[in-house]
Amino acid sequence: MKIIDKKGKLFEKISIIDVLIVAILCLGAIFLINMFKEEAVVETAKEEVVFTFEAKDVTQSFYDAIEVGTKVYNSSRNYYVGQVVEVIKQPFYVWTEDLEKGLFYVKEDPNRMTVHMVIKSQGTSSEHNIYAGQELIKIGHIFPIKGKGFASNGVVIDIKEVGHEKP
Amino acid sequence: MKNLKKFDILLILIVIAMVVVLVLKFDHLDAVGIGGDGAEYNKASLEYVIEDVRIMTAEAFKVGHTLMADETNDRIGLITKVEILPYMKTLEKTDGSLVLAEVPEKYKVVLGVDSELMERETGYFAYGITEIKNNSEAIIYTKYVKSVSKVEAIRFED
Repeated sequence: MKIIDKKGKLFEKISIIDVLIVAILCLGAIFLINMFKEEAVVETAKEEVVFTFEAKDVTQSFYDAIEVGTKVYNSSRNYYVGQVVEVIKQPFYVWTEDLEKGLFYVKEDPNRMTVHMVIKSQGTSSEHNIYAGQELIKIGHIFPIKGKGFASNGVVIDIKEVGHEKP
Repeated sequence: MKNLKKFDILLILIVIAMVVVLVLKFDHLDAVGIGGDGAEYNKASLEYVIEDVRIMTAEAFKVGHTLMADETNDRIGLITKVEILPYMKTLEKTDGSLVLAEVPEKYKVVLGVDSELMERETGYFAYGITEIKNNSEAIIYTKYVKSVSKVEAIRFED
């Protein structure tokens, strides 16, 4: 007895096409279940994320362009990050050296400034990561930001709140 | 060969594909140390050093947080010690001498991490995944902070 006969049947009884269709349907069902499972996890973990983004070495006109309520986006990937709830102007410092005395010191640059933006966003939080929208939020994480009339590279310097939890 | 129908070819292809998938799967498991190659985990205490960071980064590392590797997105271990020290850097003075000077508002962080390392011929792997090498630089992270660091010491527990 041949394993597959001329009609394409296994052991002259089971159609190989039927077996393939059942296998494909099973794989499709498993794929769909997994897809919906992942989405459900993300959905239940949605929460408010409040963090501080620092833009250094910027000018007064940059500061003037940002207002409370301004929407900010990741400027290279173009997705929405959150809304500014506070803007704080800070001095901009440069690290320099005194080669006579062998010292490092910090000096304020009067022509430049540092701007801190407190941003509120809808995000997700898992065991190891926090996201504001699609943006990974960790102290030290650098990303480019833009809003209406301004753009800058910057770094996350503080995470104030994730859901109702204070880190 | 004349009698070989397209269904036979299809069946042969499926069987070959399944064998390839199984071989690749077991190869991967072996690579991560679950392949029964006799490898075992040893408890180890790791020391990571992070330099030239500001206070907000230094203070965001906390004892009890899980340290992760950016390269593998897998755990390295549990932080057991966080030591924040002034950051010192070598400076060449005008007379040509070298001095170690403190950089203001910059810090050095020493992290103690408890891990379990798998020893293989090629090196040590935290939980069988992330390779831990003395003097190697890597991006590490916890839930709240991310930074470049260097492995300063690997100490195995007796």
